[in-house]
Amino acid sequence: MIASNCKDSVEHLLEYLDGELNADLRAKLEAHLSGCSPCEDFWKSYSATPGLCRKALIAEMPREVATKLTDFLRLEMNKSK
Amino acid sequence: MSLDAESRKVHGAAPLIPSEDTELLTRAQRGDVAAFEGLVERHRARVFGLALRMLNSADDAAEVLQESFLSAYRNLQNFRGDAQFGSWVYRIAANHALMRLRHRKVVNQVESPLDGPQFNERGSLVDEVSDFRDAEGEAMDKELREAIEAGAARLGDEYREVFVLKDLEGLSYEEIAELTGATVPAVKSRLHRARLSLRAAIDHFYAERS
Ligand SMILES: [Zn+2]
Repeated sequence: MIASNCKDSVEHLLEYLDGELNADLRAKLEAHLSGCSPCEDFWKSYSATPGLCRKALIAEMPREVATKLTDFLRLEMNKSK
Repeated sequence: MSLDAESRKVHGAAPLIPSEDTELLTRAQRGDVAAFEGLVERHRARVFGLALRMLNSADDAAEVLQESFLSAYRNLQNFRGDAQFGSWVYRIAANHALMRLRHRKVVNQVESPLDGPQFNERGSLVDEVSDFRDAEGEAMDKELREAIEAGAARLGDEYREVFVLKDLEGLSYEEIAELTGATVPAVKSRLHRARLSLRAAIDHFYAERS
């Protein structure tokens, strides 16, 4: 598919971010992005999304979860001793 | 293999625990419980994080955490030294989390529609896009964190699992395809939809704020 409009461009952003678009499609996509500021902004926000999510979704493990895990494993390991 | 308090004191003493997984693993495979506990301590937080993000429930995540390390313990002798202990245990955890998701799905089948960009009939973007690239370098805002958490929670399971495994855990498309039983193109397509939806959640947050 030719990246001729915004919709086509958006469809190719994952492959573009992965560096997996072939030269022809990449050139067409880049031509569209440089001439379409909504898409250029969209691209920037799309490529920033995984990093922002990674940062936001770092989970803290509650202390009691760790304690329960240790107790559980000790009990189970004792069973199989 | 002894678990009594005295042996824990001896083997569990900090200077005796080597920092490398491989050393701990070798000792754990010989039946050293303290060494196995050392491995657990090094990897439990990440395993919990993976399970929590995939399952979206702290209780389920705590159970998957227990199941995963018990399974690792029981299969310790089958583990080949040429792989990383960490990747091996994350794979086990991803499997357990996926099994739980599949089971839960039967009980709780509600898929909310994904958010994505709006186009007009000519295929042009009609939404205004907020600029949030600069936010990458900043400390994470509490409200933004909550907006992203809510956005991730709203994703359907099949989208969230792919997003967690790829964008949070860094697995390859092939590994994810193998774990989920989906094809690589399907994995990519789901990841793309998940990112579009999360991008929209972040965009919405910035649009509301400005
Ligand atoms: Zn465009």
